[in-house]
Order: sequence, then C-alpha cells, then structure tokens
Amino acid sequence: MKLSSKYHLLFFIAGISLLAGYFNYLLFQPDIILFNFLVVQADAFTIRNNFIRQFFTGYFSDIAWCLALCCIAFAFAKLKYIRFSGKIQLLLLPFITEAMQHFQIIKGTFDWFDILTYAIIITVFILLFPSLKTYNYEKS
Amino acid sequence: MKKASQILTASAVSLIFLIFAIASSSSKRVVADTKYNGVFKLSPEKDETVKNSGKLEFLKNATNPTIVLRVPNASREVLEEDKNVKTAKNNDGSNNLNDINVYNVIEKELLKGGFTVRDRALFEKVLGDKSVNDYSRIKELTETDLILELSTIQYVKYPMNSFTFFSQSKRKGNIESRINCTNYFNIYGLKLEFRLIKVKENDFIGSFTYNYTPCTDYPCNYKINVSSNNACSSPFIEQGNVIFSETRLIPQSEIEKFVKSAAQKMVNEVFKNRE
Repeated sequence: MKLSSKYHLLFFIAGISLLAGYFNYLLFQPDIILFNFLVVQADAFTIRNNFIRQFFTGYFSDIAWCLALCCIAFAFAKLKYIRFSGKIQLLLLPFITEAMQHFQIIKGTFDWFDILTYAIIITVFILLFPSLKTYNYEKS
Repeated sequence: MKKASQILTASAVSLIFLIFAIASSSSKRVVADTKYNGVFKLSPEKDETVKNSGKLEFLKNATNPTIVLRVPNASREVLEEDKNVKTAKNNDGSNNLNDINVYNVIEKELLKGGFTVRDRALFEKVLGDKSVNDYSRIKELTETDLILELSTIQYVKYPMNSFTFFSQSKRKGNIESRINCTNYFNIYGLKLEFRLIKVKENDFIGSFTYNYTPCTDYPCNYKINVSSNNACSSPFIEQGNVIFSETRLIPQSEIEKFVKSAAQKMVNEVFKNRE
C-alpha cells in the first residue's frame, strides 16, 4: 500500500521525536535502563539554569515520547490499522504508564506534571487534527 | 480477521511504547552528578539573657567575687532540684566539642572579668560528698559566691533547601543563580547556655543563652552535590583527600572564639551594674 506524504510526515515526526528523546536522555540522564542495557557510558551534560535543566531532565523526553505516540495513533487510525478502541487505548497509554509508576508496577517516578503535560499534548493534538476525533469507523 | 489484526496492531504499538517508557526509567535512584561551589547565608539567631538584677547588686561592692564553673558531666545527684536539669549532649556523631578545652576558655574569661575562680576539681569533690545536700553548706565549704553552670553546649541544626552559586558568562560576567533542592540539608551552628546560681541563698539568678549561627556576616562557601533530580547532598569542604561536612564544617578555632565571646558577654552582663 502506498502511503500519502501526510502519513510519511507523521511517521517522520514520530521517529524524530523518539530520536530527540533518545539523545536528550544520552545528554542529560545517561543512567537510564536503556543505556545500561546497551552498555552506553556517558557523562551527564550540566545545564546551570535550574528551570531549563529540570525541563530537559524531567519533561522533554516524556513530551517527545507522547508526541510520537500521538502521531502513530493518528496515522494508524486514519489508515484503519487500529479501531476506535485501539486509538483510545494508545491515547490512554501515557496515563496508564504514569499510574503504573505510581503503583510501582514499573520503575519510574510518578509526577502530576507529567499527567498534565500528556493531557495538554493529547488535547492540542485532537484540536489540531479534528479528523482524529470525528473519524467514522466502519462497522466490521 | 481484520478486527483481530487491528487489536493486535494497537496492542503491539502499546507494548513498544510501554517498553520505551520502562527503558527510560533511571537505573539509579539518586545520582550526585554535579558539584557546585555553593554560597550559603543564614540569619543570625538572637541571644537570650534572663537575670535577677537585684540579686546581682552585691557584686557592686565585692572586690573579687568568687565563682566556680560547674560542667555538664559533673555529679548531678547532690541536689534534688538538679534532677530536672537536662544535660545537653551532642548526639551528632562527631563530637569535636570535647576536643577543645571549653571550660578553661570560660574560666580564663571569668578571671579576666574580675572574678576569683575557684578550683573546679575541688568543687566537684565537695559536690560528690553525699552529706552536702544544700547550697548554703556548699558556700560554707567552698567559700564560693556564685556557681556558673554550663548547662548546654551543643550543635544546632539550621535546615536549608536552597543555595546560590556563581557562574561565569562571556557576555554577562558573573551570574548569580539559585538551586532549590527537593530535600533539606543542615548547616550546623552552636548553642551555649549558662545558668548562674547564687550559692548563699540557693537562688537561680540568671540564664544566658548564646548562639553561634554560621554564614551570617559573611556567606559560607561550601561544595555541594546536586543530582539530576535536584536532590542535594550535605555541604562539604575538601582539603586534599579529606572531606569535612556537617558539624566538622565549624573549625575548632571558631568554636573557641564563640565560647570566648559568649563568656565575655556573660561577664559583661553580670557586671553591668558595677561602676
């Protein structure tokens, strides 16, 4: 199946977001499980400004991850690779992940600001791409 | 078939992103990755003096009033009322207060101030005698007008959760920034308390509390480690391979200076009415 340039762009944004998140971790938090697994050793880059450092160490990669997920969910929904319930499942995944962190099912730190950030990204995404909300799913 | 494939796709994408989320969690809880040259500033703690000036009137005419310094670890069971006196002990681990001769420093200042200082050891011996259970009897035996009790000498914690540091910028020069930690760390000061007792009348005639708050007039420059999630270590000083932190950040000379100054202030306070 030949995909239109719109989908190419969405997959490209998703890929770039994930890559940006990867490099952000490599620069500012090289002590994550992924780098331990890949045996990547690096010294954390230090930003003196408190606010900027907190943004890059705490939020940037989460934003990139959520953005990539939204792009994939939108593209797959349009391509009918997933159903409405699948789309809801994907869009709820960030909140489920935070909940799992809160209940210590998976490693990580629960943060209300993460929840807020995810809510903002998903809301903005739905507002920017109304077709994601109004897409008619054919009965199967 | 298509429905199953759609469910499978959604689940696969969810799983992949969940793996990304797990893989991005920290393998260590706290990583002390940045060492700062922190600047710490505290507000001074006020001293407190409570005294019965009337009971100190006799010092006006006394040429060389006699005094003895009673120390915290002395026998405390001689007098019934002493059972209520709490002996402050340093429970912070490194007790460097014992490394300096606090009592000699105080006695020296009492002597300079015009007191005749009685021998502490002899006084303790009298107190150790179980038959001596009254202050007037102590006066008889030791010919002492006043007992100065060093009731407290201890470290005091000043909790902090932020500090400033300076960095150089090519364009703006020296930039002052502030780091707010997610935890509290302590800067240590000292508290010294004297109780003055008029032996003849068994009267408690004064309480003098002096505080040493570091980093007040001149801010302190200590090193501090801050992790990526803003957890701060205790401030410290590095001297070669030796690291000084917590109570050991107060130099011995500074403790001696504080004890000396507190004793001087106390003597001045006691002799205030004197011509």
